[in-house]
Amino acid sequence: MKRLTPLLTLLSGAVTAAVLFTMSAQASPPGTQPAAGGGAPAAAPAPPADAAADADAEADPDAAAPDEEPSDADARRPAGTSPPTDPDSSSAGTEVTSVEQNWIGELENGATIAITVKDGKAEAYVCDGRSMELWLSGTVRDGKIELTGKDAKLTGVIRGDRASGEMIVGVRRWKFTARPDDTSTDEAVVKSGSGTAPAIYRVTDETRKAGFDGGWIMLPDGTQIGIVTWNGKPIPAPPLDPAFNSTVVDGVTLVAEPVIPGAR
Amino acid sequence: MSQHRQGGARTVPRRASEPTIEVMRDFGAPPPSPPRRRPSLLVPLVVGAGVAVALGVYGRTHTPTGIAVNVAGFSSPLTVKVWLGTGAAFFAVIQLLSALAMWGRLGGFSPSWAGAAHRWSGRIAFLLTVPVAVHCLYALGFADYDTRTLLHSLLGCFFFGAFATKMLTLPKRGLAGWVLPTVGGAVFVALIGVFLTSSVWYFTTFGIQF
Repeated sequence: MKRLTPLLTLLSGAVTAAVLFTMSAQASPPGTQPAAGGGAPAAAPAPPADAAADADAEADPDAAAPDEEPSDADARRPAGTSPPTDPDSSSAGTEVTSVEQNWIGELENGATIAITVKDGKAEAYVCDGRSMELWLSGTVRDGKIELTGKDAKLTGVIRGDRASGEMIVGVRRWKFTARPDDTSTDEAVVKSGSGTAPAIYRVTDETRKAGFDGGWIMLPDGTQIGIVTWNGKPIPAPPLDPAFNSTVVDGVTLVAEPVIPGAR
Repeated sequence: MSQHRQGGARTVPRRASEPTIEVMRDFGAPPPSPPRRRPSLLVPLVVGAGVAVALGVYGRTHTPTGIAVNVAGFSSPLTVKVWLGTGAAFFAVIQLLSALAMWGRLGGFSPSWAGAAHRWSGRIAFLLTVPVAVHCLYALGFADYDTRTLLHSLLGCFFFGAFATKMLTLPKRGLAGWVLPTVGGAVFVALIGVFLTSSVWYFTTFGIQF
């Protein structure tokens, strides 16, 4: 019996790992809840099958196989389950979290500005992708833009498909112009105003409590610009993975969520 | 009894004066004089290497999801891992001390329960590392952004390989006296290295958080 205990230790570790892997594989898709309906049929059969395979492998007397089996089996599992759920989660995400309109433009100093509007409320994010960023919130009503942020004020008007105005930060003042996010407004028209995809993303409250901050603007051409505050210093943000709204900085995963005016 | 005496001083605890025969039997260290065939370490080493490489390859090829199951009660998955890792490191230190006691290297302090303490602290430490490793591999993957993450990834894979080797080596009887301390030392160093490049880094960078 004593000779077996080290093997039992290994075995219990392998089983724990297998269980956690299975739970993780099932947990990841529902991280974006609406996807569960579409994603489940594809994802559900795989984990039990693999769990069974793990159990079989671990029943082998030779104990060499069990420890490698889970990792092999798990290497296959995410490959099999994740891709089918990706489209689901992203499309479901846009349906649930939508905004009325996004304005994307530039400041005089070259920074990018995005204003996202819903029900007259607006949130804006200004960043240059290197070191400067600013969050603003306020209203867009009757063609007037009025936003405030920390030590900052932004005012502007909308004429046709063009917004312009100025932003005052401390004692500095910059003019800005912005245009509607073309691609998504077309969609909004087609869908008769059912909403467009959010253009501004910020790391979740939970992540911010852990000491990170970060913002991203999804530009109409599909690229992103953003800044992550890392150890108190702003650095250029790596692009968000659209499937999970997450990115990895220096080995730490940051999860972002779309900024919806009025949601907070 | 007479046979035992003929065996003379055992290599294992150099301080042979203590009546630690029970403990020594656990290790099954034979007297050095009779040239007996040593059991092969090939299988444990090959399996350990296989585990380490398999974890590394999986971590590298699998696309990090950024999400994995989490333990409730902490502010973020990172703090969970940081504290589980700290717990594992704590038990690893107990591992080192109990091993020293078992081998009679703590002066006269070699209590009979040192073996049990060693086994159980090891089991707990190992089980604490498993959820951390699963999260690392599943959500983050094998990373090499900088020296710290590369070192952490390498040591993490090495730790589980070394641990598998240790567990597969333990049941073997008649090993040379240096084998278990060497393998155990490798496991300990790997775990402490992993701890330094993760939890300690986190604490020094972000402060102590729960």
